[in-house]
Amino acid sequence: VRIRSLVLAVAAAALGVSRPVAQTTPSVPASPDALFDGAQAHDGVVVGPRGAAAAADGAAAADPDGLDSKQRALLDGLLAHVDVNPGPDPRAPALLHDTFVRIVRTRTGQEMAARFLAENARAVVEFGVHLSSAVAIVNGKAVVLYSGADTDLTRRPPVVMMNQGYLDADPAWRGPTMAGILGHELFGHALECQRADGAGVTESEKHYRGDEANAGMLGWLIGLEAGAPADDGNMWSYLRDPEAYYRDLQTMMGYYSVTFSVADMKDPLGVLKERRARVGQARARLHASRDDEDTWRPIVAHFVDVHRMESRNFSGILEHIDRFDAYTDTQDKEFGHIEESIDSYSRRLSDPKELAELSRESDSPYYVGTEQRLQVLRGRLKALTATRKPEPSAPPPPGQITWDRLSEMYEKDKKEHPEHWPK
Amino acid sequence: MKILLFAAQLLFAAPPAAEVHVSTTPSKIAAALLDWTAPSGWTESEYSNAGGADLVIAYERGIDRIEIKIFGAPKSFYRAPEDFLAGPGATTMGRAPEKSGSARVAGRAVTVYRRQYPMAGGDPHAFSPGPPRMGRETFCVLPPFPDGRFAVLSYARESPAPDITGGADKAWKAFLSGVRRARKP
Repeated sequence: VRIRSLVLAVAAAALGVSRPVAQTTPSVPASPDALFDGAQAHDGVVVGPRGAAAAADGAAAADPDGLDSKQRALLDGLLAHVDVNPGPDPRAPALLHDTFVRIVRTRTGQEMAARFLAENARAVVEFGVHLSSAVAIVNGKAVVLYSGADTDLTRRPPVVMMNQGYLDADPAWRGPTMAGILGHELFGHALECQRADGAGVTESEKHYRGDEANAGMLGWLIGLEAGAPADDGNMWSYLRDPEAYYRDLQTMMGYYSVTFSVADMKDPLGVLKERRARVGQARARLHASRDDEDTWRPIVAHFVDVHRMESRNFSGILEHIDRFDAYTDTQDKEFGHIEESIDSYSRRLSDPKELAELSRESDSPYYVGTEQRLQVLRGRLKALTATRKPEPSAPPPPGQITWDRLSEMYEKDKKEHPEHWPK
Repeated sequence: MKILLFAAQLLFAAPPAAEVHVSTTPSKIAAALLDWTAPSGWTESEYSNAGGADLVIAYERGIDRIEIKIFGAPKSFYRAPEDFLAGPGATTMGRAPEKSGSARVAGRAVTVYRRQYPMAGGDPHAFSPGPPRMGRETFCVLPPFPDGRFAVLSYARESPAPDITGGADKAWKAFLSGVRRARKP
């Protein structure tokens, strides 16, 4: 405790923290895209990125991590609020430290670290085994497939468990990736559940769809600012059309099927009834998509068998169709889970007390502020992606037929050889 | 990924800002700007983004989707057509859309663009190898209305594979040809 207090005192000094004058000190006006007002009071302490910025200097040269004084103060403050349990692997402490360093080097990471301190939030960060995950070689790099981390929100402080597969992953890949993932869990889920506790909306926040969007955007921002590629399909989908993103997710995964907008919390049973019907539509849509892609199999076979084209030139398209068929089979099972999840939560909400609690909590100012922040984050993400050099499009391997080329070949052959394509 | 107290359920298992606050619906607001005919047999839905500023009227059939999107209102995610064309609704992960031709829509010649767009990849916490699965989209941007709002008309296909039947493409072209400016915008 003493060490923590000392570190906090050092961090507070560097951040321009002042003591109980929070009531009388005018707060610095926030920039339009600030993630919070920059001068939040907690336990009589005022901290914020503005104060931190003023403390920035050229201390980086002397810092063991190459951080300037602002970054150093945030890192030390953050580490005083987070219990880091790297576990027995000797590589783990340095890797987790490196991830925190990367986070406080980013703009969003700095703002959120300041917020984490301002909220007096706490967390545990550790490595652990993630089931249904693996380290695989992709494009010559060892990467972690599937879940990168999760946060146990049943515990206080929340426990962030990073996938220990990162220890074996390619360093260049995992650096910015882990920064984004840890930012997502720590500043998204772990921080927000504690803010929700403080606002008295613990229960409804578990079903608030914006929790994932908030964590998602924080993680994407920190990852991008740390140098990760902007090739996440979920990020681009959210940016393009948040409502469509939510609607898709709610019928694709069990957890999200029982999450709501703030307005939905006023009539969750009606929303769940409508959503259950949409699960059927999503299933039909997925099958239509699979059937649609499967129609290309005989067309490929035609060009191989009749036109004597090399089958290997179609391997990309055929592998894509195979993967999508397999995905459809997996998702078919998930649809069953989604329906069960919706039914189960609908039964729970048949208790008028549960229903009333959800509705009452939805009126909390917590949600007004969080919804506003989602708009700010989306705008920031749009601006950040707009200023980046676009990701290079991966050309198809030499000789591979593309979908467009196959379509052209098919249309041409229909015209020149209609006998090949009897109706 | 969240591990929550109600994990047992999972085993079996917008105002204030993100939704419409106004007393009318996106399609009614859009109808004050444009006249159009819904594609026959397609399912209609409507909603808004950006705290109700950006409107979407969508028609879906299978994996095909035709949309009318209205941007440019105060607090819109896109203030002007150029802003839209440089953003995530028009680019392919930052790459500019390809001009694929032109069309006469609502009495005006407009550029028709096409692009590929990354589709949502399921679990937001999961990392999947390789590039994201891409959908295909064709769209055009109509000149702004006097109040600065502007409409984007689009046909998207949630698949990298072209429409082998051509049916959706015909519906899209018929839809485009039926769009008019409303008489009293």
